[in-house]
Amino acid sequence: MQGLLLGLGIAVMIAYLWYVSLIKKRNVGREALSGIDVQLKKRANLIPNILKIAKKFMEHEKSLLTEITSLRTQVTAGYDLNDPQAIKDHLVAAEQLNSKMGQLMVNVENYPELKSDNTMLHAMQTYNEVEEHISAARRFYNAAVSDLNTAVEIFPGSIIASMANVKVMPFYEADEASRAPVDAADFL
Amino acid sequence: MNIISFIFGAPIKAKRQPQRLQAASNELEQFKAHYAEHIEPLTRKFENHRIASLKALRQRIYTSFAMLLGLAFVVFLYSTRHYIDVPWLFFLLPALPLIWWCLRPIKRYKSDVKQQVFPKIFKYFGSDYIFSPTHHMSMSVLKRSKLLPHYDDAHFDDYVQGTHKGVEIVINELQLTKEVRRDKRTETETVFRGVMVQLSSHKGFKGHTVVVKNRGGLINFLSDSFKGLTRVKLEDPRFEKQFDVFSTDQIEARYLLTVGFMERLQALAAMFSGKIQCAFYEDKLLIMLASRDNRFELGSIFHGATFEYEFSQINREMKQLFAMIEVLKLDQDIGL
Repeated sequence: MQGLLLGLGIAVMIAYLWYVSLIKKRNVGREALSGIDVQLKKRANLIPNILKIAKKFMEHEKSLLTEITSLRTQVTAGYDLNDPQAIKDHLVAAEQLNSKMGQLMVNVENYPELKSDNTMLHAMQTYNEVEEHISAARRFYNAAVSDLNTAVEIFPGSIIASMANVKVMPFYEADEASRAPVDAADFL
Repeated sequence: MNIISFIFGAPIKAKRQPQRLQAASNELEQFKAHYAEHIEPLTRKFENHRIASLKALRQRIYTSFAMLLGLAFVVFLYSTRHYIDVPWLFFLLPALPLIWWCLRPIKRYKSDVKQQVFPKIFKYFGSDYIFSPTHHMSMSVLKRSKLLPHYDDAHFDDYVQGTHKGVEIVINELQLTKEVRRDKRTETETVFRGVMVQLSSHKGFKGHTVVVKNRGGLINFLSDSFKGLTRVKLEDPRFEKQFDVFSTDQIEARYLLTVGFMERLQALAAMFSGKIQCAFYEDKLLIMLASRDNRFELGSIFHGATFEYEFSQINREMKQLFAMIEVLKLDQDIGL
């Protein structure tokens, strides 16, 4: 009887430590996600200034500028931290915004006056720096999510996780367009 | 000429070595122009100085040798008649001041080169560059980097200061020692010897990030922290094998430690032939390069006083530092 109680005690202790480790991993994931949001916020604050400068010169890019504005609103809107789908949608929108902004930066090349505008040059330089920060935040987030998901998906962590309502978190994946191999013919 | 032929009386002649200036092809012309204008005019004077020093050294070696022989003869006579009974080693003590006296001309020559030639070499990188054998970095700033090992005494040597694209560069040689008790004796052990490089940054570093030598699997398994900083696990296994990274800011650490930066860091370590560690803190980057080499010193006294090798070597090392500034964009301030 005493042996059974001792075994049960040890099992409870192990399950508790497992639970603690899962919660820690989830919190690191959330911390990393908030790190991404800080960087996304910086980018979102920068975008209106870039659009304001661009609008003066880019008459033919109105639809792109409108699309960027709408995506920016979507990215800055709140989302449920406990809902993996909401997190995924948020990250997908962030990546779409990144892709559209990349497109805008490429199109700037077609407007010599804009390309040589000092304010635009400074804004683009700052934007690139923010992108590097977002990339670093993404690396941290994906590392944290990888740790969490491994712990949640492997038995017996999967049982403890379902009891504690700890869910897997989505990875912050790069946009399909930026992952596609570059075809030199497109630029010739 | 080598030390043996020198002692046995090989003639000491002035040397004019062929041009050995080495620099990247795009800057070679400017490099040679600086040499011709600022350094070359000093070479004749220093070549005479070098020859005079070598002659003085040889003369003093002969004189010292004669004095020691005379002393040994007297001691031998007295000891055979049992007038004195002192260990033989005791009579070697006069050799120490004699060695000091012999080497004085060479030391004076080297010191003169450091004071007159090296500042002119460093002026190549900008008019604000200074070279000083006596200045040194602030120890409290170095301590705050969290890179220094435990030490009892610090000894600084050659100091260089200047700017590149508005980024302040400070280089200082440093030796750290600590007292160790061994078999009831206290010994002085060197815990670090090498070069400290400090680069200021126009960007603000919010966190404190250190890159230290890998501490080994077991220590990493048992401890995930280092002096109050938490571990940053990077995706590059090759880098992870060589270094451990700790930081107060996980995102900033990953932003700073790009592949390009790592490559530059390794290239710098190879150039200084040493092991490397670094810290980003208080808006500066501190690089700690452990190396047994004594930097900013002259080559062999038997080589001609052309200073071409020294100039080329210093230029290579400084270019690596400038490249680090560019990779990290320490010169840019974009208000983030």
